[in-house]
Amino acid sequence: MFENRTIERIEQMLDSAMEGEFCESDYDESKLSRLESKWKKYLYSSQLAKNQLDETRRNLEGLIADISHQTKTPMSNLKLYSELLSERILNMPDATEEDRKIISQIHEQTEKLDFLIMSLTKMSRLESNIIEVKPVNAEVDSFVGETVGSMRYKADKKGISISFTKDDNDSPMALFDVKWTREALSNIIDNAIKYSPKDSTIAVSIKPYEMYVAISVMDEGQGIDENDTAKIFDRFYRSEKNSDVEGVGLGLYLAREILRKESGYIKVKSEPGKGSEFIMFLWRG
Amino acid sequence: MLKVNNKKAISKLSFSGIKENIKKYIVLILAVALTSLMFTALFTIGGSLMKELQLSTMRQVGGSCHAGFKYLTQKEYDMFKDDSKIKDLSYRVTVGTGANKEFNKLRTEVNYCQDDNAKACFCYPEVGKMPEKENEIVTSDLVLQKMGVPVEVGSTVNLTIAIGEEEVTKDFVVSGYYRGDIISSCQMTLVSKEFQEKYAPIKTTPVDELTYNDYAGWIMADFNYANSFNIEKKTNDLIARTGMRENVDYGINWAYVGRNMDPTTVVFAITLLTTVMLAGYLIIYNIFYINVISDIKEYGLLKTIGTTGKQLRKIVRKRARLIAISGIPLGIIPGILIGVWLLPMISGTLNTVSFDKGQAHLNIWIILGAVAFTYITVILSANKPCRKAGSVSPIEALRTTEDNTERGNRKKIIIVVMSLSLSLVILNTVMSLMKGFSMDSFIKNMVVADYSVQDAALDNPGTFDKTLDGVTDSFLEELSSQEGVEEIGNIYIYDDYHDFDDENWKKIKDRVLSNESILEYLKERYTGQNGIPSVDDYLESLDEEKTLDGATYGINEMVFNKLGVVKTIDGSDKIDWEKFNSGNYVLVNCAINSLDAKEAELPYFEPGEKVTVRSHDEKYVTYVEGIYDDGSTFQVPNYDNEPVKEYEVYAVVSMPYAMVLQQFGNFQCDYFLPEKEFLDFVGDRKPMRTLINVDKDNEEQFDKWISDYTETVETDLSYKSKQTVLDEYRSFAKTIEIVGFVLAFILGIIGILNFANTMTSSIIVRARELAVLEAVGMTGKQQKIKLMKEGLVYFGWTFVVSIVVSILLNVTVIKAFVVGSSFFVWKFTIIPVLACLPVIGILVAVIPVIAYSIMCRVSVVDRLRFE
Amino acid sequence: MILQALDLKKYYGEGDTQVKALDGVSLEVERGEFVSIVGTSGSGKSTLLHMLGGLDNPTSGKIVIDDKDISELKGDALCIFRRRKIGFVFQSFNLVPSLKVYDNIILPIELDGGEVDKDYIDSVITSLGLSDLLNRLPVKLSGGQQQRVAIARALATKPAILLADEPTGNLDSKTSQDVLGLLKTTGEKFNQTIVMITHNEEIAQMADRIVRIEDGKIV
Repeated sequence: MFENRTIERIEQMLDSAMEGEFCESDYDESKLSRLESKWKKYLYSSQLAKNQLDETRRNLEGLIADISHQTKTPMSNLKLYSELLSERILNMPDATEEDRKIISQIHEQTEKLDFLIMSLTKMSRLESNIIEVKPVNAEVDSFVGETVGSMRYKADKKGISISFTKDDNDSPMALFDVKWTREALSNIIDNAIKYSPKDSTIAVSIKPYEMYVAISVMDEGQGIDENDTAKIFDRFYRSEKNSDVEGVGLGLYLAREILRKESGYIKVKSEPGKGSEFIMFLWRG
Repeated sequence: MLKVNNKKAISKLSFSGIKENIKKYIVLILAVALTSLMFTALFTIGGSLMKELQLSTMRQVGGSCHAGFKYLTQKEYDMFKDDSKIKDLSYRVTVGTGANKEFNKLRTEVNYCQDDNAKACFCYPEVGKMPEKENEIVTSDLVLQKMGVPVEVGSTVNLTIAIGEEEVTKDFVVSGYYRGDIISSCQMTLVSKEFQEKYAPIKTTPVDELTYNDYAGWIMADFNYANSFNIEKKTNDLIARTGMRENVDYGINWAYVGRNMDPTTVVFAITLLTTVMLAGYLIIYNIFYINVISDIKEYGLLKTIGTTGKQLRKIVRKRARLIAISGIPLGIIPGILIGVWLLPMISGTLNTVSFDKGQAHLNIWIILGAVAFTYITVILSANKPCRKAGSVSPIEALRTTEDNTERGNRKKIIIVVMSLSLSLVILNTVMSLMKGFSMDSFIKNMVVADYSVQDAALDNPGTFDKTLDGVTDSFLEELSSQEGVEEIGNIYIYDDYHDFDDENWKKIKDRVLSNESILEYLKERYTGQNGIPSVDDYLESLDEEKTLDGATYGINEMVFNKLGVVKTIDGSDKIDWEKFNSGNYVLVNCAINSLDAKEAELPYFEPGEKVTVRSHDEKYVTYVEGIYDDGSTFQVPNYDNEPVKEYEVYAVVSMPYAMVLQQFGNFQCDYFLPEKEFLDFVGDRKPMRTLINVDKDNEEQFDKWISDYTETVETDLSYKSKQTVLDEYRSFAKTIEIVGFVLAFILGIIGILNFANTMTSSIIVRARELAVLEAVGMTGKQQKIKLMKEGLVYFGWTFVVSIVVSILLNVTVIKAFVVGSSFFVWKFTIIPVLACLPVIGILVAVIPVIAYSIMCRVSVVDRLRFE
Repeated sequence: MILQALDLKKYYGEGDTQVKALDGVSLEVERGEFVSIVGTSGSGKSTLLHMLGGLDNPTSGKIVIDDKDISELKGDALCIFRRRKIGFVFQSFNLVPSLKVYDNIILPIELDGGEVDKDYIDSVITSLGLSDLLNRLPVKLSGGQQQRVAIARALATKPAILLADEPTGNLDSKTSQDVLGLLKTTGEKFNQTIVMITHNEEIAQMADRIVRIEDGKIV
């Protein structure tokens, strides 16, 4: 009986602690009361830690907001001025080849910096839940079609063709946040374009499963080492072989995080020398 | 310790498991139903018989109430009537006793009864109503018959009633009647309140203050307690509590007290219960075990996800309970029906009541008893399967599905073989008993002539005060004018005791009273406990009196020739009528008297010795006054002063059962004298029994005459023909046969079911194995043969076990039983087993094949995939 | 570290016929990790999984799960430990055939006499797409659906570790992808540690880390 009540009280204590609203019931000489006090103390200290953590996170959020906000104007100014400068230099008859090279480097690096800042902002917003991924039920075909279309120009520039196959009779729906998922898919296709040789084809296809809709992006690049397949999704990971290719090593990481937030996942299959296949699994819900 | 509550999960698992596998569990539920059926039938029969025996005692005693106070005044009655611990209180007022001469042999009391009291005393009118007017009575059909009045409402009876010192003779109108039972100690005649108040007003002076005693005007109160335990103490408490006279006359209904069953009945009942329990156990256990084995994967799986062994045991036990709950009710109604069907046959072999014999007396306890026993059987049966389920190893359960170990197989075989053999053994036992039920020895004892005529109540062991000279002159006269009568044998008797002189008493003491088997027998009766004297006390009292119970028979030549001869004076095994009839000789019997003369032992006297016989002639009789319980007096004849005569013992004989006075005391020392000598010396009287032989040609006609005569002319007489005895024998034999066959049949079905179940499950759990065999090229035919061979292993063991056990039982238990019984001779037989074995053999071969064929409806590929 | 196996050995038989199913396996798994153990048939991977799940006892060595050395536990204690700390997903699904999907899922909780955490279970059920199947019996489900129920059941008690034994062994490749995806995503979602054994490289690729076992040894 008595024992039973004690246990019940302890369970209550735990429950209210989990709800974050524990309060001591009474103060007396009982061990239970002592336990309550200790429990409260413990909760307080861990609550403190949690509060501090929240504080830090808030600070971080502010910092990120600040960075992205504060860098925006200088960044666009920088871009604008570098463009102006490069126009000028190009129009300047006495400009040397050297000058032109430098100015184009400046321009290029400015673009890169802009991209990096953007990526980092996205990433940290995503990670710190500042930006929510809001999956909605949407058609996958049109989404992929549009995304592929937007990437065509970049591919054409490199002489790479993108094929997109879909089943006309079946137009699967999935739960995804169109904007963020486009970011993820673009990153993957962008990656494929980067690592594909000239005149090759990138095959994009859709395959519906019972629980997922898979979007496969298959390139004819050099493929990925088996040992690297798990690492490529890591932050800032860049294969040593590909140091010549531009990029900051955040695209795949971002893509994986986005899909994770949509209850989906990314899988990679690769045969070195023959190409890689990235498959995004969108949850159908 | 505090436990987490997981009852919900357990019961959910238990219940859904049955619901989803209902097919598998239906067999089990049916098995439980069968067990419940057997128990219910057994309890119905047993309970009803017990009730019938109790009823028979009640009718003998004359009431169904737990207890009663006798001879009360109104004031005394009022003292205790409101006591809270008694109920169903009712009373009657004594008026007198029937004094017509017809009531000499049918003691009749006249009372006023309250309605409830009449009901409690079995004399509430079944036809008509209770008496209301002064001249109305209710009485039994027996009384009316005796008075020669039509048994119907409105008949007029001229009754003489002894009321105190006076006699009142009046014409009464029958307002109602009930069926009287001859086993009752007296018949009740009910008069109206008006009559009672007029002729026998209720006494006002307590009985112990009266100087004279009479039987009129007393209140006799009967009542019940909450239950029938320890009635005597309750009654004494009641007296103390209410301040009744300490010497108040109270009666305890020994129908509730004398419930000590004799050991044979107890052993028999226990044997039956155990058999049914064993049969139930065998089938339920086996099916249950097989179910558990076939579910073992599920149990293993439950264990891998964290169900403990204890919880698994709980699940199985819970399932057992659910099965019991669903199966038991199914068996109750059919069980009762079977019990009711068998009851008359079994009751017919017992001496109990004379009407409403073999009726079912159902009550809640019978059903509860059957339910309890079935339930216990189910729980016991589930014990082992429980442990099996609890001890399942998760890994094993994931891998394998069958308990294919040598031990598991052996166990299965043992169970099936046991249940198959049990039915065969029981069948064989019943059959060998039946075969040994000896027509000859039965007839020799029970049928000594074509007809035997005697007083109707003579051979009813329930009656007191038997009429020992019931064969009337008028009958004998009529008889002599009948055609075709070849022989007549009269048996005369006086039944009292014999006194011995010192010399003869010493012989008896040396031969009989110090005999070991006699002493052993006495030791069982005289325990020296509970107020019963010890053997030594008993022997001492005998020694003081120097008397033994015994009768003297008078017999004629025909009867003489039916006697079994043990030994004679001249050493031959024949006795000569002429010599015996000389009047100098007497025949004596044995103390241990098996009905077969050759096995008779321990004669009281040896041939050539002298014994004295005391006359019982009414000429010399003197009377002493005796007082009834109720205070009225009666005359007791005393023969102690009658002349004695010495005879020489001619031979030691034994008299067939059908001739003797059928009563049983510790000692029955009988003398036999020739008819003439008996009538001359012992005293003239009517025969107790008359034996008649009729020639074949007139048998039919004679049969009709004697049946008419005893039914219409002299209803006091009854006759037993050879035919009725044979019919009795047949019904007795049939009862044993039917009960035995029903039992053997049920057990047989159980055995076969067990086997079928074992084989089927074994095939089902091995479906994959068999499919693999088929896949590698074993044909269906080969598989069937393989399975048949497995079945034959069961058959082989059953063959050996049933034959060996049957033979062993036959030569031990049955033989021992038969030796002690007079109607059986020991006959060895094994034929029933041999006859049944081929049938079982065929079933054993066919069932696996059928099961296999059913399984084969699923394709090999599917079975291979099945895991 | 949620799981630690130290020098596990499991030998069957003796002398010449002795089989070394496991021959000194050590393994560490971090909380929230998805590890796959790959090996061919007979490599000892199933034996290893059985050991880790407390279904079988090692000949020698030690297994520590959630700071508890399970080789110290015997009989019912081991059983209860399993119930609370380990979730199993088997190749052959092993659902209780007589229980409806929902009852199957919450069975381990009820066996422990615990209150069902409705929100959590609902979210597990939704994540595994079982919402419409709750009132069905296992026999009425496809293999993939059954395995999803098995995953839900394994997750129901929020076990310390989820052990999957060839979870897609009885499924076609398309369904396998679904089931594995769900295993992976729900694992991530509920921060669940998963150890999966398989002989299939591609399936193993789903994990964060791959451990290879051959002839009873980790390579």
